[in-house]
Amino acid sequence: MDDIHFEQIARVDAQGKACGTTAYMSDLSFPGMLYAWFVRSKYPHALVKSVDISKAMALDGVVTVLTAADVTGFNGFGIVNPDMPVICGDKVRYMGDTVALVAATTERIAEQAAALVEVEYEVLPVVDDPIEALKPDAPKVHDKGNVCLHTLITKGDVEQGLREADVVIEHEYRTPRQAHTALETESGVAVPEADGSLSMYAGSQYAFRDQLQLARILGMNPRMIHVYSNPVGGGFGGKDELTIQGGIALLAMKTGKPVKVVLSREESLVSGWKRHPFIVRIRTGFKNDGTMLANDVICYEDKGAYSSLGGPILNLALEHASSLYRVPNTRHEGWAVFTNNGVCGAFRGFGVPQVLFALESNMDEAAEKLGLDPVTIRRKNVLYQGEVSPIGHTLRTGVSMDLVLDAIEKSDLWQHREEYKKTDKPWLRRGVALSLAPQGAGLGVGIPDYGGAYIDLDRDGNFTLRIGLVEYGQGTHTGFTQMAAGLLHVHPSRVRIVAGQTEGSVDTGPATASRSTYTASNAIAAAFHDFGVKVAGALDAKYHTGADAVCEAKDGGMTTLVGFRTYEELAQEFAQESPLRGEGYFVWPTADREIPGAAGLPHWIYSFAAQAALVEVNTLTGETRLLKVATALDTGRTVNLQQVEGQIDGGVAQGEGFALFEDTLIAKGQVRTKNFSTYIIPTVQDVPEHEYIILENPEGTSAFGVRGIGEVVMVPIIPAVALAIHDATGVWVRQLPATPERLYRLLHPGL
Amino acid sequence: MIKELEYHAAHDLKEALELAEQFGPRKRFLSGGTDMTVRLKEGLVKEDIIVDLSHVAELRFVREESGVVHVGAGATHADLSASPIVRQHGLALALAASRVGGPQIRNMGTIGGNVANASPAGDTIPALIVLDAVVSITSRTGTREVPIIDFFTGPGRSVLAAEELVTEFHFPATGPGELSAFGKLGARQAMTISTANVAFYFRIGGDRRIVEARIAFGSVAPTVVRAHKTEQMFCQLPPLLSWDAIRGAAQMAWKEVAPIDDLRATAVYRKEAVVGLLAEAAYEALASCWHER
Repeated sequence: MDDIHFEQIARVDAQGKACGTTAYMSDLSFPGMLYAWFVRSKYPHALVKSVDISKAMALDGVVTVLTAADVTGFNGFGIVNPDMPVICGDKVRYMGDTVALVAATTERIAEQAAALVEVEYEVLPVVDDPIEALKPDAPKVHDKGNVCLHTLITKGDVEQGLREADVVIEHEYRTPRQAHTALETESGVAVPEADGSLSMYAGSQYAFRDQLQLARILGMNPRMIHVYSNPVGGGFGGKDELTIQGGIALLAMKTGKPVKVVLSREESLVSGWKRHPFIVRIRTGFKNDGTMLANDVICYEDKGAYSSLGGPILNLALEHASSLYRVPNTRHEGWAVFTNNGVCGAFRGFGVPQVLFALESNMDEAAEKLGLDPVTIRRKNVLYQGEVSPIGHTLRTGVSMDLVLDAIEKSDLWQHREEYKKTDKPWLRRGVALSLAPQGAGLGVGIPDYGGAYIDLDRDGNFTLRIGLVEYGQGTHTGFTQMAAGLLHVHPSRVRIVAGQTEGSVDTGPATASRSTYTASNAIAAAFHDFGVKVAGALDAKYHTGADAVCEAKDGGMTTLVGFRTYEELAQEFAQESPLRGEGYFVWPTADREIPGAAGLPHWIYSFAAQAALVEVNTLTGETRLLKVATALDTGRTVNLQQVEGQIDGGVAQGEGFALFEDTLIAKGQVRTKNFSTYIIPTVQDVPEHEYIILENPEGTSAFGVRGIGEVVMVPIIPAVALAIHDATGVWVRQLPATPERLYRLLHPGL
Repeated sequence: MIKELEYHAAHDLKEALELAEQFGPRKRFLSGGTDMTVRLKEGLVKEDIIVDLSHVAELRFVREESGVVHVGAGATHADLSASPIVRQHGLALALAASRVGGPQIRNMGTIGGNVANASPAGDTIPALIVLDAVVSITSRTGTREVPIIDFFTGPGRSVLAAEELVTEFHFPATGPGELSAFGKLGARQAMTISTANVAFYFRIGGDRRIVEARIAFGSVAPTVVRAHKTEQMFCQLPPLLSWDAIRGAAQMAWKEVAPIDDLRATAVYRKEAVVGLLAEAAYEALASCWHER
């Protein structure tokens, strides 16, 4: 389907969002609606001895107050392991834990009532350091101990490889607890329906999994739970797991009234999911010519209080700990460790930014020691399709490491870096560095990675694309529209999308893991194929043309054995009572065997990007400005260039935040950065100029050749910024973010 | 949760002063509200009565009369950063106002609120200090004039009495041979509270030497502070653009500040950073001044 034309349209959701008319789930109101308040823990780690709700219940306007005993089904949730209570009954493990839920007639009363809930705690010692938490005598966050997951992947003989190396670079790196900071905080409305079912309106990344988790919490048939999750006011992974849904669902079922909550930014930053901070200890061995011989990596993942996706994130990090470089001897070990430091879960990049910051830094340091330039040392080590990865699987699908590296080398920024680095201010230093990254896409081996789509020809001759994948700002719905319109040969304005709802759309898996555009490409193509079959079937039933007759889309209709029919004509004939529906289903290709001891690994398809960064460091204050970034990205095939560039802009800003600004500071379990004056994200004044280099090396397993790009665009920028600071100043940054004071102290070690 | 408040809108200065007298210490003035709304949400406002000044049009002005610049307390940061009068006759103040928050905050926040809050991190304060500004403080019984340097008594505290209102700032218009500027260190380029800030005023003599200097630092002491010793060092600079000499003079700032550790930065770093901040801003200002002449 390489010949399908993608009409380059503006975002289909642009006008509503620009004009403020788009209704997010958090904008909805229902008659008789109550407001929820989550009574959060007073301590980061404590036993709950008793909860007294009598005073709260007595407050005028309070409709109900729930405690753990009121959970009608299973009191827990979690994508992998449901170990996070909806309402804590016996123990709290972080400041965001819920000990009671209030529903009242106004938000104000709900908040007042929350303050009247009396909880008796027995305070426990705070577990706040993942390495300390591994010691045998450390206080336990969970009864089973503090190890969420331990994974060890080895190939060759790493000690032998390090002995044979001419240079070994060994360091410890640390990365921040980044917050997703979606514009729309965790929020939604739970609505009990007359038939006893529940409708959940809450922006999230996977309605069909929310449905199952809510069914478990409520103890209800999943068919009685209808989830509406689209559109989402920003996700970035922070709405992959459940957030507030369990709480408001319980309140709605108990009261029989719609119940709404919209978390404040402060509550979101305390209770919400975060990126896992990593401590990465890494030894990398090189020969004098730059060839990698061995890489020994151990990662400590600060899991926070509950599992969620901490295990898969650790494993994806370990899959990428030697990138896709040719390393014969590897030892990738990781520990996901429970602590009382908030909760961490899915976040764009899914563990890869943490490890590649470490590896790519070691790479540049080796290059400097060996007198090689950063491009040469990487080019010597990049893998090609058909070779064996550092964790031992054969790379069967396309590998574009060399292509993105070549492209970034040819970028204006890299070619003219010496000119860009000039400055006439005596206190400023400029530097340029580059980095590259693969990013495994999809869910990995052993996890069914499935996608469905329906293409409906409606009564009026227009189309409805029904698909699970939500629009949370990434621009995918514009791409889906273009794909469907391209296949159908209609203008994109004739395709509307119904997405992210368990009624009316179809399960296409989560909008995560750089999988939306790729999954949709094959699901939509399959649905289009089936639509042709359905048209042929309808024609056969009426005109006896033969059910296997081929119908071809052309110029706003189809050529059939009974002549050309416009879609309006086909609709008139066959879609008056119910839509004429094409159904498409697709299952991701995966590796034929799992890496032993590493659930989910390897991934089968990868995204690729290389990025170069120009920074300016103020040596007087330690301030760093990111002035210019070049991105070389393999899209496989570009569906909509504006959306691709938008993803690059956003990815660079989020990567810049990781590298320079963002960190949720937690001291003894208490979050100290509760709002945007202390949790620092880049503003429009801080983001750089961009140079975009778009490569199209088609991914053979996609109907259109597309690859996912949503995550990889924020990965190489992180090491690139850190290494550009080194190029500017000579100091190596081994802990991010490189805040002004942190960098100043590196520049002035005596301070 | 924002507590219940009694709200009064003043429509002119007279009404504002009457309300001030009537409610005394039970009231708090609201001007742009950019600081107060955050503090209300955090439960940090102890008063229960709000007197809204945002409709008092007569407090919102910038004018120059016989060599003196008058700025009404109701002038917004956006007003100040865009004002040709302030840009020409008190550049440090225009630059300081332009670095407050972001456009939305600059459109709402006022200089009167910024000063009356008496935050050690207030951006317009060091600028007013180096411009030798005087604060007009008005009550029902009259107006008194207080030099800005004497206005602050501690973090969040000032000489303002409960029935009084800051109505105006005035300072001598800078002219040829005088320059002023402002520098800010924050966590990012915009929407940031100063980790440290600096303003300075230099009068340049015929021989290109600095004959008079006023330097003030913010966010590095309980109140914004003048740096008299550093000023002396700048007055001894050679009349040529030397980075080493300027940095050397700025070094004295280290002895004139008393910062604390907080979430934004440590004290020891702040001491180092203000030196750099001053050196950088002074170098830029002197370079362009001497280049022009």
